[in-house]
Amino acid sequence: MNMSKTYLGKIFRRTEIPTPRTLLLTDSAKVCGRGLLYALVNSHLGSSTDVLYLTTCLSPQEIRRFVKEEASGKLEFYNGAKDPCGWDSDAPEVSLQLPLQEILRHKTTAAGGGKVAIVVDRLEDVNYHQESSQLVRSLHMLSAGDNVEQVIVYCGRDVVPESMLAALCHIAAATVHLLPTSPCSCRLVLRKPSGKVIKAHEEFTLTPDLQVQDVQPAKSIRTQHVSESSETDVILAAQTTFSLALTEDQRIAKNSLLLPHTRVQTQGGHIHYTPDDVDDWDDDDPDDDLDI
Amino acid sequence: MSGPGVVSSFQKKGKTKVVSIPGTRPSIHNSQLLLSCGIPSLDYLIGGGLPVGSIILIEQDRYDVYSKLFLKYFLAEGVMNNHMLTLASLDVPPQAITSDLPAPTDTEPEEVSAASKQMTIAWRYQSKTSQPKTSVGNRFGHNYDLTKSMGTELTSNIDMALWDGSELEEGRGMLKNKNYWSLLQVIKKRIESSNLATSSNKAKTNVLRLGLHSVGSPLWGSEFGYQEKDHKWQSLTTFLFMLRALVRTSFSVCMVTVPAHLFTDPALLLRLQALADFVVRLESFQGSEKETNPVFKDYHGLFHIVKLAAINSLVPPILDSTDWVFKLKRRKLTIERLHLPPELSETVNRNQEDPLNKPIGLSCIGGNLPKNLDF
Repeated sequence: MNMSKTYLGKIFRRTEIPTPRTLLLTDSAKVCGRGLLYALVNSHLGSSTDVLYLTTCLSPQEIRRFVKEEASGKLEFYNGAKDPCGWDSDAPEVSLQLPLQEILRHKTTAAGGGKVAIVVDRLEDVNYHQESSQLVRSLHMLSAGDNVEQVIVYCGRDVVPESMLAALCHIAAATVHLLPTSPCSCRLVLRKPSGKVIKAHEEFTLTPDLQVQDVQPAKSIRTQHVSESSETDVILAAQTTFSLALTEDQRIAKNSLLLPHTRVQTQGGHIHYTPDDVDDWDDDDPDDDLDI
Repeated sequence: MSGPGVVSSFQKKGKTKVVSIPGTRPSIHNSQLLLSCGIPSLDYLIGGGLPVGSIILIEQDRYDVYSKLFLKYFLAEGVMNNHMLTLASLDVPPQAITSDLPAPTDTEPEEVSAASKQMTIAWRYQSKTSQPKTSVGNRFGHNYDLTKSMGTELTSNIDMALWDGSELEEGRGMLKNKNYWSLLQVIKKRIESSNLATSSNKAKTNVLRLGLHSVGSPLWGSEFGYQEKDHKWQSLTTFLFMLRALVRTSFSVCMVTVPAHLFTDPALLLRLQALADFVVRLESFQGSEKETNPVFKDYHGLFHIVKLAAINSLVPPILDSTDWVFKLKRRKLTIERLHLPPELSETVNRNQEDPLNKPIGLSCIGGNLPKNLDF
């Protein structure tokens, strides 16, 4: 499958035009979306976009390890992980009680500057400190900024309130829900400015140097339930003296076996019919006299 | 007593005032002054048009694709008739909506000559009235082309007010939410400054069209996420209530779209429905399993008519069908009756007998007997 044809590939290679202004990336307790987030950040840094990164749970040093060395100058951190309420010092670096556009003000309103991408790493932590409607509004206003290329919102979909998640999906132009499947897959909703809406479920692999590769449409939903049922198969097989499953060779042999009734069919069939004297054999239409 | 031809001797004192505002016409049913919504098929459904002083509530489709088109048609019709416009939106910049209104076209592209409309096979349907054309001479309703957008030379000389929530005042009283309070103030001032209120004695020469986009969405406030028991809805419900009071007492009509799919508690939607005069719901097939259903393959969504206003009458107009669909052609959006497509495949297995319709009590007589037996 061509990488540029899949929607996940387009979003992560940033070939989707125009760029979705607000991108929502969610994960759950079972699967962590940080890899995808860093992949997206690297993709922005690679295309000469400055990245403003608001972090709330990891320290900037930890995140820098995942960013390419040569591009790290374009990455600016807002550390909301250390002292978010200003209890340890009078003037905290970042106060999460302020609206987001004020936290990020001096950079997003800079005239003549290059394009910036804004990352909100773990929105639920910001949501602890401010009201939901204010938070949604400030995200929306940030994404409408002139020099803002993209606002990336990262949160856990099972830890934010349901109404907050609905609100985020409402304002997001692209939504990526990471699913706990093997191989990794995600469900995406892409809302184009033309009004077209694309829903897709795509599989991908993430390389150790954080590249999204091998994107293809998910064939079937192989969730963990499937692996659970295969586990029960293993337990059952241990308790019986015969094999319940078939190996590949056995399956091919079974499928190629000619059963008795199929042998009859391969010889071709005959229709036995004794002509009757009331049979109408000529071609003319019996309803010809009806004037329709 | 008073048969046809007998003229009553009672006459109204003074001359009856004929209000002549461009783009309006009196209803043939209840003599209300009507305005077109911009979509002739929608005008037909709601009884000829929107009466002046009424509110139409549109429940948005999930991705707000088609509901935005309804709003654009509504505003474009106002532009064509030189009406005053007010557009409020927090989800998208209002300028983005007004700069992309559909361009008017004077010719109906799919006009078929009367001769070719003569039905030869289904001739019995000839006498059946088709949906009447509303594009009559006095320019009530126009045709629009969605592929082109209206030029600025048309929109530039319109008295248009756009509200994007950039100037907010603190809310007061029941309207704690700043957005609702400020918008209501803007509308009130606009009605007062242009003497549109029915209480003012100046002759009315214009009407105000109010378009409110995506009211109640997360950007307006957090009302949508609360349950009824939380008692947090009053900003939104009071807003609509006071808006109705403003619209009723002035020469204005209002189109409100709401993202109903976001409401956590369905009771909120019921309250909003009770406060509006007309309520329609758009159910788009986008992304739902109905998109691939062959029954709906020609259409883009279901059009539910939830509520019709009964103005100057006891009952609202009665529609001859309950299933309506909307369809977005290349150039225009129309609302049509839902017709099932003909079953053309030959392999389909038709089960003629419906097992449910068989009389259960008469199992010993057999199902094929006629119903009324003569003994």
